[in-house]
Amino acid sequence: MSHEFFWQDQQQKQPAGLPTQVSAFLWLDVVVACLRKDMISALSERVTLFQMLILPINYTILLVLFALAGSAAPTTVVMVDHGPYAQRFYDAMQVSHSFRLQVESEGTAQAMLVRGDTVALVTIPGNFDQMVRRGQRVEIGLLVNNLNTDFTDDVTRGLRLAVTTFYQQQFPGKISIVTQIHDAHPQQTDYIPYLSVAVVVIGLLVGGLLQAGNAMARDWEQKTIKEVLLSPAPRSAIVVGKMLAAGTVSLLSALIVILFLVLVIHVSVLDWSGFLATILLLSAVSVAAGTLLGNLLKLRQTVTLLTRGISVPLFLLSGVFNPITYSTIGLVVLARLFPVHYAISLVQSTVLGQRTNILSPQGNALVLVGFLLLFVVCSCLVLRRGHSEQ
Amino acid sequence: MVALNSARDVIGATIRKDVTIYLRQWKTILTSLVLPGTYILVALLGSIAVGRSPIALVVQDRGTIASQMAQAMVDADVFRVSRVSPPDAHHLYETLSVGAIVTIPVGFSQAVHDHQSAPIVVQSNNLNLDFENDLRRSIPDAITLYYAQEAATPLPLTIQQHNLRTQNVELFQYEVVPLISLLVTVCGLIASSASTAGEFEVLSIKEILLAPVSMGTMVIGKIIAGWITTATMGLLLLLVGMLLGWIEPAGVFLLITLLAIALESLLAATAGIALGCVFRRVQAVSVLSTTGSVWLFFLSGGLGVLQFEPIFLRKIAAFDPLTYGTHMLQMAIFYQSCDRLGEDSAVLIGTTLALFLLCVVALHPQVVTVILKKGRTTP
Repeated sequence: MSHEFFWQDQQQKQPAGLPTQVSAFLWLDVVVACLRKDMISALSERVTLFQMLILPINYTILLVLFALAGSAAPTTVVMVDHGPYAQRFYDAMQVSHSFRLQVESEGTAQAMLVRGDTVALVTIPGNFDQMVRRGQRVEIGLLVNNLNTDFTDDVTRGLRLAVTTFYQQQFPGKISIVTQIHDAHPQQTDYIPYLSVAVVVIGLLVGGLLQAGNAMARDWEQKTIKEVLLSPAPRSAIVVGKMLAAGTVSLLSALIVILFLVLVIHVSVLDWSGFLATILLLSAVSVAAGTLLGNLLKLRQTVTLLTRGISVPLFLLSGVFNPITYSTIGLVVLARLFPVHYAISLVQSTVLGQRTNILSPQGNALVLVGFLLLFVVCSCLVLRRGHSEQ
Repeated sequence: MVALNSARDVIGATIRKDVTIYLRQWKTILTSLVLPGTYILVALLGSIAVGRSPIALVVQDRGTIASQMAQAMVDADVFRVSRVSPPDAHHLYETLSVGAIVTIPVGFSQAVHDHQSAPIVVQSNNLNLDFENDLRRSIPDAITLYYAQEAATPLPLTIQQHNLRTQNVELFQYEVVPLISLLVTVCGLIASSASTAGEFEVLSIKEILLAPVSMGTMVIGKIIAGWITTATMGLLLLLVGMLLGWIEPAGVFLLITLLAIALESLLAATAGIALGCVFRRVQAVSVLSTTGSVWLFFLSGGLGVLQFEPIFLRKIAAFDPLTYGTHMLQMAIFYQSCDRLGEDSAVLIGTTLALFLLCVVALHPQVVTVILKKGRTTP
């Protein structure tokens, strides 16, 4: 007798008037049993657990270091002239959002540049004030350690900004072309918090895929799936129970990332309830995807390999640095095929209050729910197929 | 002479055994390649991301100065500029296809001509400060470019720029070199640590200990085996980088590049064996190897420029051997320089020797016997 018939048989044996209720209780029993079993297994596999917890922090640090490296150039200023205009020029450099400034003598500055302690050396010449006052040509010296063109360009542009700022402040009538910037958002979001917010998504993605994928693959590897499939339990209850266990464990890594964001990066969450709801939804989607992956691959090592291999590229292809629509059309189409893009956008909208794709937050949430249902249904179908193979 | 021959045989046998096992483990090879492969993609996408974002340029003024200014903005090469009408610009902005609308308003040329205030209006979707700062810097960049073309410039303050190095290295090219270090580290750590931990798991370490050979010889054999597989991977990536034109080491500096890869591989292989001796579980050392190499990579300035990072990070990087290996590679590949070659090599060799001693101690028969006994008594 196949398990479906057995299950139907059991249902038929229930007293009249109670079948739905009883079957619901039995369904819940299966969910709880699967949940308990997988939780115990997960907690006993300490290495996998450690890996799952440490990976999102690794990614956070990766992005923080990436943002830190490009934020401001350590620059040494040699002020041969100390007059008021020279000082005003130094101030203009300071507000250009491009440099970490330090004033030194020429000898020290040269030594720092050679040692690699500074990347640019700006010299304000001796007759600076006099020449500026007379409106004569003055040359600011810039010696730059041109390690790569991107950073060198930032230094040069930062200095040009300082020049125009200086003239606009000291000689307002002299430069007629000025810039009027109107910002769409009243608050300025630093690049580190902006990038870090999206890390929650990869934390949940990796946690869910690893945990759920490994739990499912372990059952296939150790052949315990046979017992599960031969039991009269419905596929949906098995899948939901396993997903709940993986989701609970993977939420641990999300919790660590959230604590890191709030306590270390000092990200202030705009909408906590929306953010927490988003976390739960993302966790469910990642875990459902992991369950499907584990069912398809059936080997833990392959699941781990694929999870580690695909999660970072997928994450970075989904609009972490800027809205994905700023990229090429190929990347936009690719990003829209996967739930990660909608997840990043949803997290950014709940935490920072920013719209970073063309959908509303509700629209993004709906797409994610669609992915969740798709993964759950596919997992049940794969389990059914797996049963007939067994 | 007999002792020398015997040592050579032991080393040869150990190398053959370890390399054969490594070649059979395609999943281990794949695992070690996935991580650097992923980070190459990270570097590529990152360098694209920090580069040119799209903006819409609306030129409402038909005067000469307005078109010169618009051209200067395109020439500044900071953004991908789409020159469009106001409704189109608004549509692109609303659909997040551009990050900002830069408008040169009607009467701009006349205002500049009359030395009156002529604003360039920017509507910015300031999602983050990186984009905002690029925008803040780019318009003055275009303004100074424009004024520099003028005969009687109102901006007599000019920048006389000198570069410390003659070569210009693109951001992505620059990031490929640390990735060679990462690949070498991951491959060396994973291959050697898994091979050593495997000896403990399947208890083949017993046979090794009972063999009448010195532990130092055995460790040297294992290190050379790890070094061969690791250096091969490093050389392959170097070759791919050279074929794709990412990096072009030339002349004697190609030899220094090869030396750097050889020393990094040696260090990674020795560190892997040390890790295997200490932790003795394949799964544990696999996780530690990948996580550890990523940390070493980050801290050595792998995804940015170490000199641009805060002082505390640079101080930490001084204790990371990968910093020296990557520096050696960068100097040889990009700048044709032997700057701090001695210091870099000394750190790599010194760390390798220290780890070699750790391996010899950890594989000493008495230590291993204690470990195995402890393992038997552990439930």
